[in-house]
Amino acid sequence: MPVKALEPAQLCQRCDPAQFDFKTTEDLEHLADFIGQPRAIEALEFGVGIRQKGYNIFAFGPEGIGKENLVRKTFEAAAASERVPSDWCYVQNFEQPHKPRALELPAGKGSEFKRDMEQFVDDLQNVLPITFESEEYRNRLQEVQEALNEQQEAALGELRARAEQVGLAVLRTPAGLAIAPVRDGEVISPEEFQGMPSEQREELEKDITDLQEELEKMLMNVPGWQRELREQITDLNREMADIAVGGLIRQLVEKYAESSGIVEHLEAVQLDVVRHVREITDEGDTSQISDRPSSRGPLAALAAGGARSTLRRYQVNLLVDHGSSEGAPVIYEDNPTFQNLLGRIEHTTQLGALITDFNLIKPGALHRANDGYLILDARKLFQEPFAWEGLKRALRSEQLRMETPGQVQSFISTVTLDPEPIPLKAKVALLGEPLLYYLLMEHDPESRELFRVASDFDDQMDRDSESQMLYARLIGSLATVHDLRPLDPGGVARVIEHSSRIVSDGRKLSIQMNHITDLMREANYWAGESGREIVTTEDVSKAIDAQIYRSDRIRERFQEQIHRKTVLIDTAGAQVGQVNGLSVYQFGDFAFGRPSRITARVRMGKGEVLDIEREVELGGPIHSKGVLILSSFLGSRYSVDRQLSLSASLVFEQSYGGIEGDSASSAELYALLSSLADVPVKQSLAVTGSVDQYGRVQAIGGVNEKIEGFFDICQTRGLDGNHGVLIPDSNVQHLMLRDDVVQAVAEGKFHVYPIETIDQGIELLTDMPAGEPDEEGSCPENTVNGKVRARLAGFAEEAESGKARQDDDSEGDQAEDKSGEEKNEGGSES
Amino acid sequence: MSDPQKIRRILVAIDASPQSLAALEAAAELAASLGAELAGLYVEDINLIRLAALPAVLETGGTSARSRRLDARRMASQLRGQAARAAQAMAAAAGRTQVRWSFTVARGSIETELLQAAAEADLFILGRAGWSGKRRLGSTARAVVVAGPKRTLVIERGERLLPTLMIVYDGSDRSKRALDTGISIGGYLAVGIVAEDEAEAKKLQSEVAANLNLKGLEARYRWLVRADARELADMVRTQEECIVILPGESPLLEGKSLPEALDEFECPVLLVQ
Repeated sequence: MPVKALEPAQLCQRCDPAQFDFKTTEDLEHLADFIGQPRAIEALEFGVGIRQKGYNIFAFGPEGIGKENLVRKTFEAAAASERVPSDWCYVQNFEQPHKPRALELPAGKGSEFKRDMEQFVDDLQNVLPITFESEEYRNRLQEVQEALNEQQEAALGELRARAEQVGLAVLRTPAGLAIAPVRDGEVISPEEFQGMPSEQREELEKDITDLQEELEKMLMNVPGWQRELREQITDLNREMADIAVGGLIRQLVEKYAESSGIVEHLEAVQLDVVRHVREITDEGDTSQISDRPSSRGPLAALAAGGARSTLRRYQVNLLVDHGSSEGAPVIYEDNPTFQNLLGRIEHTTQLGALITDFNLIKPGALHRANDGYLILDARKLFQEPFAWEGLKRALRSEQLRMETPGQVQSFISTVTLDPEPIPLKAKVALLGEPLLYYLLMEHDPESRELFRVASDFDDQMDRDSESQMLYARLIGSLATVHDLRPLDPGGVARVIEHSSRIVSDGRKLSIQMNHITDLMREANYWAGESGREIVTTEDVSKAIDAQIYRSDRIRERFQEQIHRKTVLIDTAGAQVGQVNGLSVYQFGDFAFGRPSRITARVRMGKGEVLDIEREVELGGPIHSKGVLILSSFLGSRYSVDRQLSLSASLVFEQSYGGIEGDSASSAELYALLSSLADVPVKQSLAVTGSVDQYGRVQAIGGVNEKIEGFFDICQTRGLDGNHGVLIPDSNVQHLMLRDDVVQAVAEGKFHVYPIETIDQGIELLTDMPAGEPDEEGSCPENTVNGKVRARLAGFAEEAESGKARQDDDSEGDQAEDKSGEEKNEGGSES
Repeated sequence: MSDPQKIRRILVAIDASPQSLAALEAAAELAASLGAELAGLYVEDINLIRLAALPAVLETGGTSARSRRLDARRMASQLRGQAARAAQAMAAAAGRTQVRWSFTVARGSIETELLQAAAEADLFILGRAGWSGKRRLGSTARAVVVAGPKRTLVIERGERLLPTLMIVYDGSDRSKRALDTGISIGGYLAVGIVAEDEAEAKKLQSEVAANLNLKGLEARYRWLVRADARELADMVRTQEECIVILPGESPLLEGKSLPEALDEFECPVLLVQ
């Protein structure tokens, strides 16, 4: 029974504008929800709801599907009703300055605390000088100093008095002190000294020696007294500072009594101020406290710097400020470097050295997203050195520990900080392509523990009248969001048809929003060019044509080669062992079909079908598989009781690139059968479809492109009503053919045949019955199968009789020509 | 034409100690502002020379507290060294302030030499403190102050003379000279009227005012009724940069020696005899 060509209506699943009862998409209700992603949405909601460790989300799907948008909306919806997280500050750790302390404060209190401490530093600079210039302090300082002077004076006075008693005096010399015998306030002359009686002189000398020793002892005590003086002054300074600072600190302690961490810190601040009161007041007047000569120039500047750095220690580094936040934070980090994620510790130079302190700690995205949500692009994350490992470490330990990448790798040994870790509780969502997700799960077992929720985004949804209505609303919403002209029902219908074409399936709709949005933007542009306020079918079609034209250069070049017969494709007449196969080429987003001449030659041999493409390593494994299936089909169908004594070779003529896929296997089989039966094949037809071991034709991919590829060649050469394409019957549902193809079919100039079996196909191609085998397996003589069987039996007999002789088969010969290079893809099978 | 109160020659005693060098700085500034000549004097203490001549004399280092032998040669070189440093400082200070200057090295008893030189000068400036660094008047200054040259300015280290002049006036001849001295130095004038009662104070104030009016000057007045030196000292402590001009004898000083009274003041004091 001959196969009937498809009706025009079957060639394209039209969307009827009449089903829409709106005037333009402006009349439609805004579509706030996402459509076609029930699985992904459920996974996201589950991921947000579950609070256990490790239930972070990996949302994966094709690029431009709207993952970020959906994840963000889901997160924002959840975050709005959650509590605003705490503020976090870093403050000086006075015991271990390299380990700054982390303080947690209720939201908004952080900036208040920071201001309070700034005020404290301000007050300190006022209060301390006032305290140290006060009458009380000056008098007490004088007391202490006088006490020492008096002590010295008393000691010296005593010595002087004793000297006087024995006629001696303590004299000051340029370098120290000396004891001398005096009379009437004048040192006695050497003559007088010599003139003394020896006894008196010896006594005097002895007295001098004794006093000298005492003098030495007294002078030795002086450094000790001075140290004592310094200690007393220090004690006095501390006492006064304590009084001055105590009041300021007390106020703050009362205010922040609820937070034990802050109270502890404030107490430490008080101690530190008292300990460093000299450095702080040095910034102002030094004379009251220290005896240092007042310094000017660079040293003074350094001293002032010292005081500033002392005061810096009382500041508050407000790392995370939720003062103006509402609900939990939702953060998208566009540049997920290690430091942007986990924060960094900056350095400044001082006298050429790199230094840092807690004020230079900067937050990362995880700090900002703590107790909230963080969205990251997986590919960007993986491209950043250390970032992925850093993120995993933070999620695993549930702590935000600041380390520089240099530290992690022990590259750098600059002075740096080890800030107290902050507890981390954030829900992280990674966005990426499916391949990334599968590779990650395969190769990084840890990621499975940390990203337990997979949110799988689909790229298509079912097409029915209900979903088409939903889709219309989506189109309307997109037009509003992107500020585009509204569409009329015709425009919407055309977009929906194109959407089906994108997924190559008349019963599906693409939900890859970026493609649809691009099309709408471009249609909007063309509507504008034509001065229309509403986007119509015409504009959408124009946009599609323009898109194709812009990417069309290579296809045109291929077609030109065929027209100029550089590449030989016959579209008329009949040839033995030659069939027009169809292949799909993909360049970026753009795919197109092109016919290829497939030829087969047979002779007697050992039962092998030689795939020349495979021999030269141009054929991929799937292609080879298709060819091997052919030999199995031949053997089992035509040589059940005998050895298959055939040697056949198959080739894609003028193909200079790789060939993959098995969509040409039916075409190859037709070429083989034609060659074996010596029956010519009609060249006005092209063939696509794979075949199984039983001769059933199976679905292939890219059916629309393939049909259109052959149609374009035939149309240029002139359609005569014989042209057509054989496609697998199971591919009919995928048909979304161009308008001009459908038109030609309607006019009877072109045909598309749905094929279920090889026998149906060979009958169409040769106009000869395939031939039903009888009970013994033999077929009528004047059928294709009969001829094939007879030929194979001939080979077998020849082989068995041992007179195997190399003999040429008679068949149609081919012209050869050269052509440009090409890349061939058969498409994936459904 | 020649005014006996005009300061033409300022004597400053230098012994190369920090105190005396500070006195030198102040003296140079004052000389520059008054257009006076600055005379520096270094006295080689005859007692030290004699000491060094004695056999087997030891000197104990002021900082090291170690005793070592002292002989005439070492002493002479030490004194020469001090004199040279003093001369250097003198030249530097005078150079900075652009004043006429001279420098003399004398040998003898310090007090005698200082007083002798002071007699030829209109103003004698010396540092307050002794070797111990305390704030009280040193022994040399004490002796000189008591012996009483015409005008003696006692200053502490580090003070600058950009003064308000607080002139103590009690109607005596000395206080009149003190007033004249204040006028000749110039600057912001304040007059502390020392009186037994308010009526007298009023009288004394109008006396001073009349005197000042003649010269076209004005002053602020403070009454020190039955006051003593401490009260005055407390009063001027609150004022910044002040020189007290004090008559060598005054009811303020009742019951106190001049050196004791000077110890009360933290600011420079100019004694007028």
